[in-house]
Amino acid sequence: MLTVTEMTNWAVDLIGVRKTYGRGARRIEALRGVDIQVGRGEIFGLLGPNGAGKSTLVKIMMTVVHPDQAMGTILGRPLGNRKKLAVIGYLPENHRFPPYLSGRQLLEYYAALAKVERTRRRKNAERLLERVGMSAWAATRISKYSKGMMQRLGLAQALMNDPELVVLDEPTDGVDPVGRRDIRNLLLELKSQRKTIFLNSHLLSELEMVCDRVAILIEGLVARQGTLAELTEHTVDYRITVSGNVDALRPDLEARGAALQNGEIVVPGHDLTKVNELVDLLRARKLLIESVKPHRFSLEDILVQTMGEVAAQPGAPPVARPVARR
Amino acid sequence: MQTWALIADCFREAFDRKIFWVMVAITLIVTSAMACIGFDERGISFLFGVWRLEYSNPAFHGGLAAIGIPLKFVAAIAINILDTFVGWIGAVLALVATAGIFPRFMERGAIDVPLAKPLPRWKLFLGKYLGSMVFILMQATLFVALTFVVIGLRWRAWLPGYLLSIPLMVILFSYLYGVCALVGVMTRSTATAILVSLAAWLVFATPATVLQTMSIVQPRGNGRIVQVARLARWVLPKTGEVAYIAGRWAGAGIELDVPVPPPAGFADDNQAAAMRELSEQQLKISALKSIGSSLAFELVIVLLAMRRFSKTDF
Repeated sequence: MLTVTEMTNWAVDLIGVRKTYGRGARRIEALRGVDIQVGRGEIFGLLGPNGAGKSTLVKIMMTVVHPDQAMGTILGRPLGNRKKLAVIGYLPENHRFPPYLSGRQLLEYYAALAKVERTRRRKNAERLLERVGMSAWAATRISKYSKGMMQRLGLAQALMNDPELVVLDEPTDGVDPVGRRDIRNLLLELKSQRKTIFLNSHLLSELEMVCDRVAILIEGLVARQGTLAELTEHTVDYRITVSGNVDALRPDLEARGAALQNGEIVVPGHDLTKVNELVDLLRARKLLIESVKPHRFSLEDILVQTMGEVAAQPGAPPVARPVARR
Repeated sequence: MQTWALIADCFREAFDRKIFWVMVAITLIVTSAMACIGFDERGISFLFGVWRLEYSNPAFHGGLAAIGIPLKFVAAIAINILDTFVGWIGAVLALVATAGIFPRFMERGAIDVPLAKPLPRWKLFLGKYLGSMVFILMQATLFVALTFVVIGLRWRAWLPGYLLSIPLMVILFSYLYGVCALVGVMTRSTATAILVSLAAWLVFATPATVLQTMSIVQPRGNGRIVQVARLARWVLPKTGEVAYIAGRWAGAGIELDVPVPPPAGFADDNQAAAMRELSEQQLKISALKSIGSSLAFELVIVLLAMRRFSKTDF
């Protein structure tokens, strides 16, 4: 029978995660009270600059690092519950697999540690080696593998226990474009199987392509969190392209809150009235309008913007903006 | 399932290392060298009979002549070899072969996946620790079993008690490996683990050496040094006593305790008596007390290492 906590919709529900490394002058606050929620069956992306605390957070989720303070649940069980790790798959960043094992031996070894029974281990190993395109290398020692092959094998090992939650730290690191596409397809396939995926990657375009929701971690705090649509809701502008010289219009444009960038008129925000007013102005000045396009910010734009906001408030923690809880 | 997987992994790792094959090669060389020598009722043959030396030959004199019958002679040599191998070469090689298991296991990027599996950290530590022990058990079994057969076939002396050297070799190694694992977990450095373990071995042997020296220098002395050394000997692993116990068990049923004449340098009666007393004490060492108290020390060290492993952030 499921307990109340196991029935929650959140696959990951972390509250107030704190972690400090070192003491005295060498004290570093890696996480300063992180709240993150990941829905069941969704692909969740964690992004942030280097040193933001992303890997520390992932390691705390996987019990590799002990938090100073943390509340919350993973798959309905308290954070740090080891039994629940049997249904969680994990691919760490910069992993170093034992070089003396073959690909197949590695999968079976890690699956044995995850309490996967022998027949299922063998079956899953063959299936997953095939799925990640490593069947031909199954009996080869890992020391002979390239970085891309290691990542593929790493993904396979993360799935050996048929996990409900898959935590991947930089899964496309060192993988060529074709390999990255294969990994993206695999993630979408896992999502279609109702598996939850927690993705930590610095490749923002990758995250943008597959993630349902993302969180931006900066200086040990969640600066923003939500669906891609929610995060970009207030980060839309309109770009008006005009034929002819518009430099003379600069004072009029600035008076209406617009700006001239690279020959384009940029109208910040989602204010259609303002856009129409500007169109009227341009037509009144007999200028030919080539296009009026809404422009949505990319994740990269949002990250850079958020980092700028945080940098503008030295000493002050970034404002967390969680979306409404389910 | 999980413990077995960890032990099996230790084996794979050990097989992959050159030192494992060096140990196997040394075992084969020692065994072959022993097999080259043969004993019978009349004398000793070398290189499978290429050269022979009869007991009636004048080369046998002094201590060897006193031993008399070949079986005792054979047993004495066997125990001597065992003492040397167990005491020094075997244990050092075993340390070198296994000292890196924890540091390599704990390397950045290597430890993350095992730690994220549904088994407690103490079990992970213990699995690796036992894996090292099983690896050494295998090496010890190979060495003792081969030499047992050679001693039986070529030296005409079947010594069932000699087989008890297998667990004794593992026990001696475990005294040192406890320290090695603790240092390995704390520093994550193989070289440091080996060096500190060897230094610890020296420390473990010191109390017995001090007591032996003091008993000769001051036969009736009971000063502070003697008291501290006695206490230290009680607390610390008794590495030196393992060889005595192994020798005694190997020679069980054989009158090996031939009275040792006082060495030439000890003209003083008191000193000679002290030496005899020392020799008698070695024969009286209680295996249960010696091994039990040493294992208690090892347990404390292993628990400390386990605690450190459990509390570390990787």
